[in-house]
Amino acid sequence: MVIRSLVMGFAALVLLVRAAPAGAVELADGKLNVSGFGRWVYGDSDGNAYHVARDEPKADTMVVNLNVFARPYERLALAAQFYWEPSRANVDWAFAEWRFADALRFRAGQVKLPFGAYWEVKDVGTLRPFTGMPLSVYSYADLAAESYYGLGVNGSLPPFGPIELSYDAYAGTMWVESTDRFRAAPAAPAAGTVQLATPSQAAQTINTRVDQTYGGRLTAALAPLGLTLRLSGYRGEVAELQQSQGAPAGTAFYAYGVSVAYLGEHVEVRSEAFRKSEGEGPSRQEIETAYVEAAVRFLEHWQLAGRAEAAHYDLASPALANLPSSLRRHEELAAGLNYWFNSDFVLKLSHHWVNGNRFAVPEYAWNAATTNGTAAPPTDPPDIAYEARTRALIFSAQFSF
Amino acid sequence: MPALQKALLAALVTALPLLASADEAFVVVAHPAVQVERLTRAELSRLFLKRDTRWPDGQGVLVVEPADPELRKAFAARVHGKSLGALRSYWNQMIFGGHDVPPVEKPSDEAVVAYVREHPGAVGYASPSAATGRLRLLSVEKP
Repeated sequence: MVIRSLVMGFAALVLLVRAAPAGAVELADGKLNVSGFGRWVYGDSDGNAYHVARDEPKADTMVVNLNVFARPYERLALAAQFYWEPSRANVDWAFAEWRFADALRFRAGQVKLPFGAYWEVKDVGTLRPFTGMPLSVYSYADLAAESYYGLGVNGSLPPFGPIELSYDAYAGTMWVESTDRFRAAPAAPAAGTVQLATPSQAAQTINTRVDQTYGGRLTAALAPLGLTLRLSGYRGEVAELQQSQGAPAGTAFYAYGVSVAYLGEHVEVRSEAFRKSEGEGPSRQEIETAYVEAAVRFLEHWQLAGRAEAAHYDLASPALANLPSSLRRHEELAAGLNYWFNSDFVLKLSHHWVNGNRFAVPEYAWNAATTNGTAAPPTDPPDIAYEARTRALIFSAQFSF
Repeated sequence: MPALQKALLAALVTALPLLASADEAFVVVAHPAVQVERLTRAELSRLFLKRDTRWPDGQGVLVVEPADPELRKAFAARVHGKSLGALRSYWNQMIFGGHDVPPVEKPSDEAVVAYVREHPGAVGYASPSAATGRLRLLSVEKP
């Protein structure tokens, strides 16, 4: 099985090498532009499932996104992004933008959320030094939704000397997806499956609809491609739905943070810190998370990278008082070595040292998260106590065109 | 004016454009209707990064680039102060963030010149030897 996966992965890699690095497809004198990005990954861990790494090495994860941008008229832009992997396909976002001026552009539709430094491009592997972004910020950590449904404005102001200011503001609804092990009770098990009994074992994907959301982001850049400071945040209210949600209806749901990035020719440094809160009283949950990431290019094509990340989850519910503390914690150190064929095609190898079980869990619990609380019975009864420490090795080929 | 002085003056007048073009790897051309004669490098950079999309008179800016990698490399270094790779990363951020797409690309100097001639508000660059015809040649100053 592993050999078959490796062969499939190698075949995909060969295809990538042959295909890359073509430029975007430009039609009608630039009025229509088709771009895309994708990845193939291989992951191995010493026990827990973490990101794409598994105890049994996994090498068959292939993801491709297609991005279409049209400007039929000078002031009008239409943009959409489509997502594909073997198990599903989806529309990431689709919106229309009308440009009144550089300082005022109006957007409507399902719009990529302007939040943090990389929320809009968090799946694009050629824009970062590691295979994945920090999980406590950019993954299924429910910090924010991938996009909002509603209206927004954005623009850039004339430069003040070397400083350029731009802004985003929006209002609407968003669906925040979270996969965790400490909130809602698992769904009824299907025949032939087991229900994982305790909060420390059970998990499911929770979709929380946040209505009356409003938010924004302010960006100050010292140069178009250099040092950037961003402040971003939003606030909304949990909607009343029939289905299980993370927090009671009508309670507040908000997040805010600061992002700093320096992107030089040879050196890249990024750091972000966020705080998020949802619910009130016993249902209140708070997240505090931060990371710093640095990368250095050498010998033209090579890059060394390092990252430190820490996140803490504060749960007010007395029912969760006895939850193992490791489930509320994620600490990670990572080191990586990359080979960039060019800026559109890269091979990445990274090693991750993880402390905590917020994102690193036994595989049966990981599977439970993707089957809404049910999973095939483990061959051997799993140990109730999680192993808090995980080491993982991740290799990937990532490309864009 | 003595003959020697005339000859020296004529030689100087003839040599000046050559000296100027020897320093530049490209010329910046705009549609004749564009009411701008000179730009700073920072202003030109903002146009080609699509951060400014209108001329001072309100006309929309259309930017076009040649495909020649050496020419693009020289333009990226002198105008943006960046390598082609860093510029590509900037455009990936813009494309996949749903903000905008890179300038229109043309296969030759002749195609760049033709595009600029046919599109009011257009601005592009080409090699110094390109036949720019009646296009407006923009002088580029340091910021």
